[in-house]
Amino acid sequence: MGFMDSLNTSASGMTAERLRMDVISNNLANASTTRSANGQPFRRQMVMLAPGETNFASTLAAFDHSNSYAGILSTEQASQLGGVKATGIVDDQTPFKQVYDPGNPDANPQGYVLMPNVNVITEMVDMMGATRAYEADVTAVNSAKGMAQKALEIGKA
Amino acid sequence: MLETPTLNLLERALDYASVRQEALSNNIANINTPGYQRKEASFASVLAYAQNENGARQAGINNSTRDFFGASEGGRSSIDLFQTDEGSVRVDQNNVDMDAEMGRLAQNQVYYETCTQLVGSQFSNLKSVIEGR
Repeated sequence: MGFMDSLNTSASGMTAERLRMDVISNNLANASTTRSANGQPFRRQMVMLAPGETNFASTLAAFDHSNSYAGILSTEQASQLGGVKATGIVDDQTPFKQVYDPGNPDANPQGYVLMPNVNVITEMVDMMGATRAYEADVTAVNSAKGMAQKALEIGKA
Repeated sequence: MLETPTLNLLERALDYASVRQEALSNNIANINTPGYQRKEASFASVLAYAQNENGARQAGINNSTRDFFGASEGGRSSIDLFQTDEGSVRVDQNNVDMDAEMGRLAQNQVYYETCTQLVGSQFSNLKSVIEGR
């Protein structure tokens, strides 16, 4: 318990947002991929997020049956502050767009090509959201760091 | 001598601010988690301590009796955490408001720094008494 947990919590948020950013970049890069490994067009991917359940304090307490490690928060309460975790990357099941392009080798007999279900505008908006959330995590890290440094100055001069 | 009521109270306030910092970091980390409800540290134990202190002082109870009220009980206070059920304005039922959270973060930092300044000044007062100048 303490500042390291606070920093770890923010770090988990930053990791999650960066993973979202990676997935969004992948979606944008494949916005026109009409044939992927399974022969289908590329499917948009999304990151699933859930609250984390463990942090250092709760892990330590699990090993310490004598409960001599008594933090400010109880073990159950500490485990409520486990940051965030990505539970998986799932495919967006919305239908593919159809574009009339008879010259395309992936076109069907009617001349239509199935395009990925990636909407570039949605991806850009998600990307801005991920950027802002990442920045918020950075602010939280700096704030915790500032507090820790002030605590070190107790008793100085 | 070092177990003064003021220092004990400030210690509790610092504990509260550090738990609150953790709760706020957790809220910010979960800003995009569907269904997440924001957590907040409870000020109740700091307040209860201050009230006990005031009550003890008014009743003219001495230091050793004051310890009975939990002033130096293990040197550690426990801070409670609670989950808020404020309404959400988002489709995913997450009720974290980024701006409000950043405001609380800044407020908590200033609060913590104020407490560290006060702890520091307690010690410098003590030091000037020891040095006699």
